[in-house]
Amino acid sequence: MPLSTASRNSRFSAEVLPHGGAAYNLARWLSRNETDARDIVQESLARALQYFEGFRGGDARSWLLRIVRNTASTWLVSRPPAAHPDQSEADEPLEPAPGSGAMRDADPLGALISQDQARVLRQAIAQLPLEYREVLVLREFEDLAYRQIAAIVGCPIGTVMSRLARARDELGARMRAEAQSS
Amino acid sequence: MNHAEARALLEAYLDEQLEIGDTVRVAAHLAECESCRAWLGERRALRAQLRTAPLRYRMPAALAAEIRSQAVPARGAPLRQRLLEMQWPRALAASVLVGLAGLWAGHALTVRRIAGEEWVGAYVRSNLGARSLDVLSSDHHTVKPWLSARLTYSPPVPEMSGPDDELLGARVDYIERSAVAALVYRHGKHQVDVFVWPERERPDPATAANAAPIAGFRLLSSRAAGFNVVIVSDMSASEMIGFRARWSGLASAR
Repeated sequence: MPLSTASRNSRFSAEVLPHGGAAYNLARWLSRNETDARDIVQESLARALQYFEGFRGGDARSWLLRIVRNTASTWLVSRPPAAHPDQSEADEPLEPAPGSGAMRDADPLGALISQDQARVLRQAIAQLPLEYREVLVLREFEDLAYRQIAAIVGCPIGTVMSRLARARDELGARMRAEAQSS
Repeated sequence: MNHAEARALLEAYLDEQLEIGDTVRVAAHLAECESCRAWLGERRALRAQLRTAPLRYRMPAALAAEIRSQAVPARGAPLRQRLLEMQWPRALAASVLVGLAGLWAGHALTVRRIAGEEWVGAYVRSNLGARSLDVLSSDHHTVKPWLSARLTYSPPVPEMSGPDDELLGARVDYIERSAVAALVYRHGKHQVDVFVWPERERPDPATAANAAPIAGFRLLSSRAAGFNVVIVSDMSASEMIGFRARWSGLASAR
């Protein structure tokens, strides 16, 4: 292996691979099924390694997520929606957003979310239109700033805010309806 | 800020994405508007649910392993053999260097953050209180001797009297344990503080500024006529850069 390739790969491992989890979560939420998510992540990382020499340093996570987002959108266009139903099932590993431990202490109400509520939320997010879903996932599960989300999605910051507002309005309505029916 | 204006910013307020001025104004509106408080309460509850429920997909372990094996150099040989093949002296030297570099970088980052916040702090305090200026004059013949009498150096004081930029005066600030000249200008409706000190006195401000805005305020560093310069304001990045160019041009011309 030539030295330059070896050093590029080790830099790539150190700077980009730690964000593989964020890449997978985004790919999984965009594609709404595990098989596509795996393929999108593989494809994205291959592209990322290929473009890595053009990466000037800085926010490696946003840089990778932008590639994932673009890979996912071409991926999803090439397949009809019926080909990827939502398969989110109990055997898939899910976890709370990072940093939420502190928040759980600060907000006792939040800690009381039941499994049923979590399931309703998961379905409600999966049913959001793609452009609302991606903004919500980047904000809530990756805790990215509007500015970073705007760069990943390729839209103005104001659009990030309005899409986020629509996504939350929708989820809030679903949760209220659920609370009334149960 | 009226109800409609505050309401339009509440989403960004919830996400802590507003600049400091808007944050303060929205908070003031919230204190007196029950419907905005109720709205925000619902949003906060929803967000708490979103962030505590297990909703983030974890990468399957097999995929994680596969990815690592693709990017990292092949690990065919057993561990013992690879250890024997390593060139120990070189590897040791490299790891010591990496460790030192890490220490140095960590130190530089701390310095940068603290210094940046000190400058922004000085700027914000001068805006909050009555003490934005110790000497109020648009004439550098007044400002420069006043500063020289209070500092161990005599900073350049470009006058910049024009429709866009105007020298308002100066004050002496105390930053990182030394007294620093703060020249105060107006650009449009913005106050612009220019901190100036001799180049040899403290670490290069290029490491201390040019970063992301701190609480909505921007810092920009420069060097002119043997002095280190840090500019702090709430102007946009392009206005900052334009101002720096005009200021440095005048300072160096003297």
